[in-house]
Amino acid sequence: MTTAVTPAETTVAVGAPPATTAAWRRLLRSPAGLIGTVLVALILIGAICAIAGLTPYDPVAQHPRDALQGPSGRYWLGTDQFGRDIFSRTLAGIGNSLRVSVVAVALSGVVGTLAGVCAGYFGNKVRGPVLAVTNVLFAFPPLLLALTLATTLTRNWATIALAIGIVYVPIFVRVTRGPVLSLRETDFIRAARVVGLPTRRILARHILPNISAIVTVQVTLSLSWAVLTEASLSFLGLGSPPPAPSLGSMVFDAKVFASTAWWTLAAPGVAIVIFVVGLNLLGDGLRDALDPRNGRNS
Amino acid sequence: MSDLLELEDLRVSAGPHEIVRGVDLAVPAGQTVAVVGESGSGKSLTMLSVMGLLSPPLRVSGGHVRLAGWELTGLHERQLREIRGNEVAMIYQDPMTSLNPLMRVGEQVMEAMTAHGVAKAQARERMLDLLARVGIPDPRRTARAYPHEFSGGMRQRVMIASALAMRPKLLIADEPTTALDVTIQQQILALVDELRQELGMTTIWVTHDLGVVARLVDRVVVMYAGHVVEDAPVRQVFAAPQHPYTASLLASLPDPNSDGRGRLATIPGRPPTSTQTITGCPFRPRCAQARDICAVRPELLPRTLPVSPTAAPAAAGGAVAEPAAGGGAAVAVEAATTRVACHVPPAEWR
Repeated sequence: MTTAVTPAETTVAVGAPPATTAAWRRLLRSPAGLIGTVLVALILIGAICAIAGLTPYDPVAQHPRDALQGPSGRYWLGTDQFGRDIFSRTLAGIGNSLRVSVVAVALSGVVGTLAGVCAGYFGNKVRGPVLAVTNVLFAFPPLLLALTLATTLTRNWATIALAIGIVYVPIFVRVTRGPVLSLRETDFIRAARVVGLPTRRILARHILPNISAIVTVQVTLSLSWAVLTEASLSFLGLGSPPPAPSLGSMVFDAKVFASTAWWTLAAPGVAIVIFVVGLNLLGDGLRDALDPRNGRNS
Repeated sequence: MSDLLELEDLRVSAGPHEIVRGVDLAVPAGQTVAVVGESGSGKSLTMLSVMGLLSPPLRVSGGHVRLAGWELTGLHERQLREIRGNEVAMIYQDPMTSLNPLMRVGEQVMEAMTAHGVAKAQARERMLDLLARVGIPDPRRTARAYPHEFSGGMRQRVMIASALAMRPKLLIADEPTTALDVTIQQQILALVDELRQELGMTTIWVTHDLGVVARLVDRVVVMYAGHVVEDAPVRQVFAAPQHPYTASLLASLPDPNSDGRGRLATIPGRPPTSTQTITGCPFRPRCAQARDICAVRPELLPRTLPVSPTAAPAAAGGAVAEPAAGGGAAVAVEAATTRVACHVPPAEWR
């Protein structure tokens, strides 16, 4: 049986592009989503420049004769006490901070989501241990853990990422477990079991896609917290060792000169604010855009 | 003649409370059975335990489930998975929630086959055939749609396609039409019945609405508070219900011939909850026919009926249920297959 269907006959957008396109459109239409996307894009551009080495000066190069100069055509955001270019250092700091946060959140997102899905889907034999570990981790102060890891392992950005990653695992466990608990009782999961699908396939193809929106939002929000945590850690001297630029250690260095050379504090401070506010707004926008109740067809 | 499905003293509990309290049921191959009862009577749980789909705290706490000679109780999950889809399939109440909203409908039907080792290309061919068979227009195109692009009736058709993909021997339909419009209901019922005949499937309809399936089934099993109270050929049930509960259920159906001004009959009281311990007949507190003897729990026993003029033509047929060669002619069942759990025969009712 062959029937040619002209587009005019189609009342529903059958086989329409997946919900992601519509979600993007919704995201960019909301003020929070739009501003968040722009700010995060700015940050990303800065980070990419720093990683690609496209900074006006070498971020660690010292120009002692130009120490503590205000913003000018030569040094766009001024220089610090060693005459290092603050603009270059800020970009490099953003790159560093982004690297730590992305690795940390990727780690906690993968581990936490897997643990949360298992805790939600399987019975008490899995749920008990997972939740016990989660609760212990929840009670652990990130600074203390970072301190412990930094002193026992080597002190570099990977250690910091590991510390932040471990501390954030429970957030993903909590956030995913609940929805999975209710998903596993839905008819379509039951229907998947009824037709004899193996558990691995049910988890991969039916459970995970249905919690992807929640995980996406959580990843964005966790990134912003990770940026703050990384900044606090390097402010306390637990971050990447000097002279490597980092937003937190730049703020720490600047606090002595802040009254006379405001620009030393302004640049890293504003960068942190843009970073965190941007990610938070993006998270809010994503939460609304990915909410299935906002209609899939709009 | 062997029984395809055999439940023996099946018990389902939630923690310390028994919800299904000993169900005996044998369904011969090819028969179509309706399991009726109000919400909470344990009918759905009984069927879920056949599929091995009870989730904690619910569990099978006693008895046996046998399917085509296999003992299902205590079977390993891996073996159960082989049986699900291959031997038994199930369709659900609410087609709005029984499809994964993020997966194209064609893929969901294919998945039922690839999970059982059917090659992808072949599964695809069969999926398109199945969709066409259940009445989805232009399957090639619609297979790429997402569930939200379908109406409730269309989704139920997709569900049916995926349930029947592996040609199961037993189909359990758990109130598949409650969530649908009346007109769609009839279409879906007719479709399932057609497919049942085509594939020679044994079918169990789980429902609280006897009227909906009366024309489709050979036999009716009435459940109350986790017990089977009556198990009889469908015409027998309508013409001469043997259990007071069945009789009250039928009396509470609206009568299309009445002028609509009278009040519908109701059954006073409410069914016992799962936390209550039941001694004697579970229906006793609500039963107009209750006697002293009802304090003793009645067993589900065969009852030989005096041939009544209304029931006679229907019930006088051959011995047992066998799917007719051409498929689907109504199957006559002996009146003696009636089993009732009541001490008081209808002749003694006031």
